[in-house]
Amino acid sequence: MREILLGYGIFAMFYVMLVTIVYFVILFFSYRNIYNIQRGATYNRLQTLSGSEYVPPVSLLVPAFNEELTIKENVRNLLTLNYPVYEVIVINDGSQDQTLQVLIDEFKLKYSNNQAIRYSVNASKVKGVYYNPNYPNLYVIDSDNGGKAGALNVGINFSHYPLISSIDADSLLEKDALLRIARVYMENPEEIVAIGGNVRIANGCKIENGSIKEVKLPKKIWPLLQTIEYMKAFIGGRIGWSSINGLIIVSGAFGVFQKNYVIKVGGYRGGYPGEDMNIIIKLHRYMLENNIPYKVAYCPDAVCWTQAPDTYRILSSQRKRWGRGNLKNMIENKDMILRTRYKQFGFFTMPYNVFFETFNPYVKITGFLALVGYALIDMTAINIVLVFTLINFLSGYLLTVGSLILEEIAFQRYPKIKDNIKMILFSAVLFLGYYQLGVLWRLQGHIEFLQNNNTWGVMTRQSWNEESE
Amino acid sequence: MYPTLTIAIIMIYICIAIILVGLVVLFSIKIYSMRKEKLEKYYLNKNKEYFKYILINIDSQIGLMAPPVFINNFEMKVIQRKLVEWIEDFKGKSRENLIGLCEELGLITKELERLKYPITSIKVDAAYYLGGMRSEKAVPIMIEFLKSVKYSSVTFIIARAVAKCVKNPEDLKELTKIMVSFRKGFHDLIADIIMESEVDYVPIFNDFLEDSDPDLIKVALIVLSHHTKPKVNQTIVKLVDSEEKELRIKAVKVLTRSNKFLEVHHLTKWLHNEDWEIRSVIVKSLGNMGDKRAIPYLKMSLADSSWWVRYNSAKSLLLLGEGGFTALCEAAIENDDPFKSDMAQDVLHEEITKGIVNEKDIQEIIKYNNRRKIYESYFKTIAM
Amino acid sequence: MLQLKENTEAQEIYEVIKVAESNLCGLIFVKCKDDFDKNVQQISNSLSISCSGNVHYRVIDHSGILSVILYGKTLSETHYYGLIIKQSLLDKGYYEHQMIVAPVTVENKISIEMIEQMFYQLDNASFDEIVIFHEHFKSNKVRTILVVDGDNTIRQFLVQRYDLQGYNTLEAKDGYQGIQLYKQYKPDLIITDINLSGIDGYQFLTQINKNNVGNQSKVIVLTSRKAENTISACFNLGVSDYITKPFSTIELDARIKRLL
Repeated sequence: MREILLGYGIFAMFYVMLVTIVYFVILFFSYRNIYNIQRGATYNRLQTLSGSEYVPPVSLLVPAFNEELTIKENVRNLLTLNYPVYEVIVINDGSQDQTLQVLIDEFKLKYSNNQAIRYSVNASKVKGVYYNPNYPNLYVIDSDNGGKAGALNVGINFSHYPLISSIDADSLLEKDALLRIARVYMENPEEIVAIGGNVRIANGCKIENGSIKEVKLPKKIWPLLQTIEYMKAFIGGRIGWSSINGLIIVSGAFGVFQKNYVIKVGGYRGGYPGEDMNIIIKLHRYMLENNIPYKVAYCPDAVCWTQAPDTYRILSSQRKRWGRGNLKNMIENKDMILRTRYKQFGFFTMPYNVFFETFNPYVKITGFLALVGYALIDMTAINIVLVFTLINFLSGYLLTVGSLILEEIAFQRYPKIKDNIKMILFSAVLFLGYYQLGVLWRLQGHIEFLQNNNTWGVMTRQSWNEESE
Repeated sequence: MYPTLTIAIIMIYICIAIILVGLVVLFSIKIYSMRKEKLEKYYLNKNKEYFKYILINIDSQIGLMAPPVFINNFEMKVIQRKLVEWIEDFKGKSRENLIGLCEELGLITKELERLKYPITSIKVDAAYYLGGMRSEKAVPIMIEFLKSVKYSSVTFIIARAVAKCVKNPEDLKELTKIMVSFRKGFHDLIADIIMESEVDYVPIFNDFLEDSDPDLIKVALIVLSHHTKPKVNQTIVKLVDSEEKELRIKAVKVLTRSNKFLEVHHLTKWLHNEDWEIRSVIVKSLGNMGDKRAIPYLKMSLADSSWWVRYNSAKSLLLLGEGGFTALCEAAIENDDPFKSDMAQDVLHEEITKGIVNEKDIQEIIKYNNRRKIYESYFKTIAM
Repeated sequence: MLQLKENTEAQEIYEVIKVAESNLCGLIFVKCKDDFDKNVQQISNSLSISCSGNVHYRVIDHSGILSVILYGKTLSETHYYGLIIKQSLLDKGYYEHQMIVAPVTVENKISIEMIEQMFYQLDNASFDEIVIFHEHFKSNKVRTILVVDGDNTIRQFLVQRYDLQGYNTLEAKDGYQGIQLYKQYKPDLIITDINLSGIDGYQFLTQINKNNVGNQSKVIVLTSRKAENTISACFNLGVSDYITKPFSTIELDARIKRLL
């Protein structure tokens, strides 16, 4: 019995080391790519591009479900982007609050029943379109509740332009964000089928008239931990994944897609969370199955500021939802794993996500328990538990430091040295409690999935004004 | 004790070591960049009066003079950045003066030297600034540099710099050919880059239309389709029957830009083209031409199988005066084709609810009221 | 008493320029807090090295002002000598001085009032700037220009430029501020970008157009956007002119003159 516990514990330890090494490889790819990204960002004059007739028009799709507090500011923010030609399509996804009325009042919109809508993809039923010629780039569509995926599909059907961009209604885009993405897209317009932006946490920042005036770290602990977590994922992780064309997700908060391919893969999938990961997997699958050269790109200098959950309850509910969506996506696409047909995606991305993301909670928890059990039987072996914890801690910490350096080299969004110190200190907390909670939430998400619990859980929003005090 | 544990312990030590190194690196970068920023602010402030002198006398007939004091390298870089930024903001005499000042400050010579360095990042930086300063001398070296780099974002930085500097049509031709040879489909970006140049590009791209390279033809079509009055010739007309769909569509786009050559009867023969994109372009330009003879054709296209053709036909009918509006009303109440009537109703509804945008425009008010009357006579309801 | 004295100083300088019958010259006035003589010495030293033309110095002892007349020099040259003088004073550690620069040209004729106004503006100058003289008209005929642009350089450039040309200028960095200033001052001309923060450009133009009874305020759009649809949308909203960046300063001047 003891031997089995020990053996399993050691297996878990090696698993953690292996994960670390894989992370390291990804981080290495990120480093290799960062200078190229940085050059592209500094040596291209955005102002020239912002007036160009050659920048492709984009339809921004904004699904809104019970967003009455933030929607006004968001639409105002989106209407003042620095971009030549674009339209903003807000899809009211059967909200139970005043979301639609707030928009109608604010922008003095008028109703039209719009029967001639196209049906490119399956979508929720449209109740009407609202429009005001004084805001020629704004459309608000009222539809039956169909979840985020359904709402996005409504937007796809209605949109007038060849590129679509999904944007969360609780996010603010930087004025140049869309243009920065377009710049990268224009450099390879035939192959790039999807391109994601960088998502950062807005809690704590000073917001005025729907744009970020001053970047600050959040004061509350939950958003602060997420800030570090996001930085690690987006800067340390996604830059690397994109350089081997293995991105499995383009954040739902801000991503741009070629509409015709999204339509070809049937649009967004409803019914489960994780539709943003699902669409990317489907795109990979479609392009690889049809042997079309393609890229899922990432543009870290295009920034979208989002409001992070700031209470335990909301955060845990969000993470459970992610866990559920992730598991669903993995099960649905398990046939892609280790198949030559799916190239880098089948050999690298999918196995990584299944073995190191989906299985992660199981191995870590059971490994830890096994070692604790072993130590309980033989108290002299307590140091092995210690080693396990330390490895876990240090490897994670190391990656955070690596991501912070990347951030410092290329982006420098947090101007004060105090912020860096704070982030360094709190990354310790990240690995002494927060990640363990994350593991637990993911596990709970998986359990919910197996129980067929498919609700969205709690989601509440604060208005931007409250946030900026 | 446990042999496997030693690996883990080694790993721990490695991790700690790298973390420490990482922290040192992190804070050095931070402190370095904070210092740099502070210094930059200092020099910007120090030269405030000089910058003011430049901006006030920017279009002075006698040009601009170098600062009256010794300037160190870092300070010069700060000034250079400002000057290059301003060169992009202005044109004419002001731009000329700014470029003259850069020359006088020795910036062009310095960057030309840097362009010969063997380190890519320095070369890219030099190319960027030389582009900003419109240095014709740099063109041959930059073209060589462009040929030597692999396709990446650097390619476009150099290409843009070349486009800004070229004065000779042959160089612009070569630039276009190099960019096309990457075969990556970034035709729009090439066109955008070409627009930066001061060379008259129209004859060059008219020549490219005759080329055998379809990518080159595509770029030419894109460039010409944004030109206000493209010279249309038989080459473009022939391209409409090209094997490649993209060429066909782009050629039609150029053709419809020049209404001199085209008449309603020329355009309508493409209304039955198999590409919906072409049909869509045609119905759009039928509206823009403002020729009432197009009304029956547009009404017919309201029943097209493509949503875009139907949509653009309806929008075009709105542009064709009361006749077009009446045709749209007729289509809306006819019940032979639900696609047709739905689209017509939607566009009519939008137009009527739109109201009067510019309340001071008397013509618009009259036009709107007339349309309302027509609308009400067809639908027997009071609009709005 | 003091007023009278200054008057005679102005008269004196006026006479000097009149006598020389120079239609083109530059004026620099420097006022030093202390060490007046050393300052004057330093200034004449530095100018004797750098300036080739005919220079006339006149010291006004009791008010501590040195006036320098540079014959045959344009504004840009005079301004540049101002920079040289300033730098040479700073090099010697004289930090506390005020300076004003003015051109005398055929259009901008010398007068006693002008010199008096220069004295007045010199008194209000801060130590670290060179003031460029511009006339403050008191009549109601002064035209007001509102500049709305998010780009700091361009906005400040335009404000400075049209200030010097004798217009009354207002500046706004976003649409909200623009609307506010418009409603408050009803400027004669608005130069605006359409790529604005806060309120988007179309909305800004729509609001202006609605409030613009009798077309009192002309609007020039100065923007980097070149798309045809954008241009026609702007003209539909009552815009008088549309200029794309990069722009020519001389062309912009001409278009403004045509509108006002």
